[in-house]
Amino acid sequence: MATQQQATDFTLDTASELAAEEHEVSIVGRSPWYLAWRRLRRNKVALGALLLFFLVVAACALAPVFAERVAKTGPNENHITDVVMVDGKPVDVLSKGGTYTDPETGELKLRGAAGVPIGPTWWNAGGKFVLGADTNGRDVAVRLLYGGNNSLKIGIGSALLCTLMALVLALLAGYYGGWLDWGITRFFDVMAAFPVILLAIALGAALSINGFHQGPIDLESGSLWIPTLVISFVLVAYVGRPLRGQILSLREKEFVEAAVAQGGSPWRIMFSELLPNIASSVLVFFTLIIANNILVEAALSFLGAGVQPPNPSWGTLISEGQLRIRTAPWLTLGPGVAIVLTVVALNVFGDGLRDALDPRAKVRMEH
Amino acid sequence: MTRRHSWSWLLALLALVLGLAFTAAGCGGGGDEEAADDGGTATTPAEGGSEERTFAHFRIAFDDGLDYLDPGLSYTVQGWSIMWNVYLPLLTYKHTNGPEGATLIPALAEELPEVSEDGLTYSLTLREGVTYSDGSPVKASDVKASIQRLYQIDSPGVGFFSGIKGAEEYSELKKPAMRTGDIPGIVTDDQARTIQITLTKPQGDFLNVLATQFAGVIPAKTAAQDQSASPPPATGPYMIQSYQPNKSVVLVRNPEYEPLSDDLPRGNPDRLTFSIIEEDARALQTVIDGQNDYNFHTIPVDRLGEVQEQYADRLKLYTPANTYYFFMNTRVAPFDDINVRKAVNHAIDREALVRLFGGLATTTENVLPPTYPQYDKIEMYPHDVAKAKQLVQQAGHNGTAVTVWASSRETSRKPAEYLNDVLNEIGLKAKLKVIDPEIYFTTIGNQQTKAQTGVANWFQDYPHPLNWFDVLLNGNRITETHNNNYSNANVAEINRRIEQLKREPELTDDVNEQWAEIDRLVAENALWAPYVNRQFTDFFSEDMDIESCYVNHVLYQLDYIQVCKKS
Amino acid sequence: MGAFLARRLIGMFFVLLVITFVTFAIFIVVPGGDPATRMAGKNPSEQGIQNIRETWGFDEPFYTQYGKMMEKTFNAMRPGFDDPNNELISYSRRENVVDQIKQRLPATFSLAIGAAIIWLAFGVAVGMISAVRAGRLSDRMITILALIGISMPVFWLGIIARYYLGPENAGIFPDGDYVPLTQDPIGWFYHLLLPWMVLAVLFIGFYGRVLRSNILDTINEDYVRTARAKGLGPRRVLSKHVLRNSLIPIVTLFGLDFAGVIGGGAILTETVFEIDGVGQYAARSIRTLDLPPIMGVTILGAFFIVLFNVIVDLVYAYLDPRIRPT
Repeated sequence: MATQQQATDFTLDTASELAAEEHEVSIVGRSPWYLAWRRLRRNKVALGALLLFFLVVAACALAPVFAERVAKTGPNENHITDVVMVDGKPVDVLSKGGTYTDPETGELKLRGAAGVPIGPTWWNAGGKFVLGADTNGRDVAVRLLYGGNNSLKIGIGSALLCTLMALVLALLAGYYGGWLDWGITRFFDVMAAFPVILLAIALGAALSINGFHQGPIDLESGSLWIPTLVISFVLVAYVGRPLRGQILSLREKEFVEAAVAQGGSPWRIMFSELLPNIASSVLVFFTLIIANNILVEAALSFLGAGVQPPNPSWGTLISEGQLRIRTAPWLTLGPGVAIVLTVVALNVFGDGLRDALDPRAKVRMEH
Repeated sequence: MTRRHSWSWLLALLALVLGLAFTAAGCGGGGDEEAADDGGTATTPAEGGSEERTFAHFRIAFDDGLDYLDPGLSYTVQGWSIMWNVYLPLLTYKHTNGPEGATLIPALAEELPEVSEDGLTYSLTLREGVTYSDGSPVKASDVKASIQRLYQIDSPGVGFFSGIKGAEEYSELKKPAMRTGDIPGIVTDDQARTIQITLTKPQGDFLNVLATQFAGVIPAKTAAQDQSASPPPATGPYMIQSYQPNKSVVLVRNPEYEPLSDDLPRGNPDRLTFSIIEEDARALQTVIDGQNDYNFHTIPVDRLGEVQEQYADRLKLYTPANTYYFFMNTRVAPFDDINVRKAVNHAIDREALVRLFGGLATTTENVLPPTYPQYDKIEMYPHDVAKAKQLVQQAGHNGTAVTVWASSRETSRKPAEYLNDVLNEIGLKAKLKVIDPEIYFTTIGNQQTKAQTGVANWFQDYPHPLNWFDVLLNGNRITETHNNNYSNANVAEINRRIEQLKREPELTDDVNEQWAEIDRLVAENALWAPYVNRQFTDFFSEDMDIESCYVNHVLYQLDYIQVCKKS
Repeated sequence: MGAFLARRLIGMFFVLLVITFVTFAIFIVVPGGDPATRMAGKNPSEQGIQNIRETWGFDEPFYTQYGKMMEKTFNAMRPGFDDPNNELISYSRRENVVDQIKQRLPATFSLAIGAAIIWLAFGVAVGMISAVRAGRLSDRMITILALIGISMPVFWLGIIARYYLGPENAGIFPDGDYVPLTQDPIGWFYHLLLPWMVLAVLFIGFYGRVLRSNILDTINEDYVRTARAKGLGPRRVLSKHVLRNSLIPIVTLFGLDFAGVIGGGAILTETVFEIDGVGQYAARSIRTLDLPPIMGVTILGAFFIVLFNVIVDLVYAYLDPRIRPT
């Protein structure tokens, strides 16, 4: 692949040279990033996917606004005994009911089931309980948005951390080689040999008991940082290994050798020679890792080792919702569809980005 | 959800014992969730029915709370309700509805023991000709071996037997030494079939100890490790044919069983299958569809309406004596301040909490359930959020961090999520900590955890106020681990009154009034925030005749072997 | 070759050692409470707790505890070993962990093998069809479906499929549960069919995508063009040259994924369909902080993952003569 300097100087694209001669249009040197952007711009599907992803992000980011202005309730607020006006008629958020003692037989009888939550009101209750309530009288729509907010924070945050950690380790290993490379490679080996999901739930469950308080790190048990860190940690090898491979092969290239021969400092070589050359793979990785991590977060939370109650995430919402799948299937379907949409959007965009940047990069998803 | 109680059972039993003895000390039943001590429902007792109602197969949608099928190790209502018809102790309880179910009757013993004048020696005689399901004879020495085995397997039941002479010393032996060692307080004679047990001091509840499942008699040669996978031979009317952990338990009739007495039913089904199903909704569905005959699970809230409408005649409700409450640890801020505790009592809307239980509950501010003669309804803390806010403000605890504890079971998590929200509303900074039910009560009962507040509950073990106040609220009985006084309530006046009432041999009107006063004192000190007394469901398939055959026992819940089909 | 194997085996041993230690550390560092007090039940005597502590070695330093636990784990794997005092026993239900895992292995293996067959067959088919028809409508449809397949949370798909295709709605499939093969082969198949498909969906989508791009890449290689130029028919080129080389990366993926599924990857599918396999056992043990079973399952999982890594390398070398392990 061409480096930036080379690209601006000359091109081997003889077809375009010919075109220039024939049409008398001079070819302007373009950076590979610009070329990639031009390719990407033509990929309408990928751009559409990006737009969809941004819409989801925006909707979830606006959760507090929706909660405050429209639904007028927070994600964890219980409205068990509240009454809402639906189409001008008062409806209990959770049904009334209860038991009584039959005066004749003295037997305990049921008057009616209490605590059955209100279903979706759509917009008939002025924005309240648009998607109904859960068994604690909480607004499902608000929780869905906040859940997405948390899931996305964890997905994006862990992808960022994971990629960053992997990048640093891969650069160190690839540049220095020797014992450092050996150590980092062995670390990757061990991490890759761990059953991923087992390690993640073990760490998640263990840390959610008392949090993590060691040295400068002070995490409370319910903190979103715990699943974020856990996920980025357990997946680091899956990103780090291929990156190390790429750097290793770059390290052998003449332009790096040249930079070393010229006495460039390790930092300079890592950041201005190696990094720009893997930046495109890293970017592709990053996009696809976000998608993957959203799925991992959902799985962790579903198993109770991710986001802790009462805070919602798409995973916890599915796990709460499935208990009522027979009477309120939308509680299970809603967050699931949200996950699928988001992840599909990211994957489509990631594919497009890869085609545009580096058609041969291979990234794999782990579950 | 579901009525699983792990340890609560022991406590309950002990309590029962205590109740009988009117001494105080026992231990309490742990407050795991939904215990099944039933106050008895209004149905005709099915016991002793002479007509044959036998049928082929009773299928139970069971839950996943079963811990062991080894009588020496099981500590759950799941295990005990299965095994009380399999491994008979020397004594057992009457198989009937209501409070009468707490009556002790001889099982493997010929009659109730003779107790020496000083209350130290218990003499029993084994019935003649009793055999195990493998045909071998039950020997007096097996009784002793079964008790010694408890120590060899580190049974959770050993605490019950520590009053036996030499038991403490025996428990200090190393494992290999135990095999050859001996508890001198138990003397048996296989020839004469006699068993003589000597205690170090009088123990009013010892008869109940002998009736626990831990005292179930199994052959002396039984290996000193968990036998759930290969059940020892049975002495009761049924035997365990197979056990597949997390899948199923199958009981069949014990071919060697000869009726021991009229009080012990022979049982109607020829075979019982307990299918372990995790999910409440699925368990219910299997019973509605007729794949199972009885639902051990409590019906999920959102299915209750449907069940009531369509299958009311297959549903029984029952009210065990229980109280659900939020504990507030008086040793830790902010709950060391009475104003904050009062604020919580004002802040929670008890009507709202009833709805969280699907309406199967009634509100309460008392410690004692309303079925108690000592009950005197307390109405001290009307729902008043503004006042609660003001109290927190006054106490200077605005913004103080509070962790609310709960187990991941729905009946625990939901009230905790509600409390969490309410605490935030009144100015505290609350967060939730939800852990697995299996480790919940040991975690909050450990002083090192410093659990500030959370969900707890108590099910009666025996109808005596001591079982409530002494176990749960007597400051003199706070312990470092396995504490039952989650609030660490230690009010001198209350402690003094409890100790004083412990000595009262009889529950006279006057004494009852004094208990009611203690209840009031607890409320005045806002040591708890009690919220509901719960009710439970028994749900059957269409074929079951629950009009004539329904026994819900005070300790063991539904007596599976006394059900019958519609003719 | 021999040296290669020896080196890999030694590496495998060390990886397993580190993994067990990390697992142990996670649960020793967590202050989830003294297991002895948990085991002692609600009404323990001091002596009782002390006895448990001694019997189980909770009073010893953690490296001794680690050593003992490892010893017990490996004891249990030795054929013919039978000493109840030196077995790996779980804290919460005092079961022999190795026996428990053995009992659950058939379920997990059934799930993994069945799903693997499905995903391999369909994955390859999907990849081939969409590569051959690249650019056409059918390719687009398949690509979209594959994309959705890899974007679905497997547990969510499981919940939805189980409910809507199960007895309460469509009635096509039974409601979860696992029937042992030896007990009822038809029931075994019938009960596992839906879990297989649910577990396979992700991999089908993934393999399809990888294979499609591999085939498209290979088609443009010089040797393929040469073959075409020499007059070989497209069918023959595809089967003889393109497919063989495009499938090589799939072999790697398959080996690693299969090991991953056995080593706990099926945890979600097992949970959703209430299949009492190794994954569920691990999940339950983690919730109750029951270290011995967690250790057992982790070792098992890691073992399979490492083992399949070696196998994959060997197969790879066999398929692609350019790579020969040294």
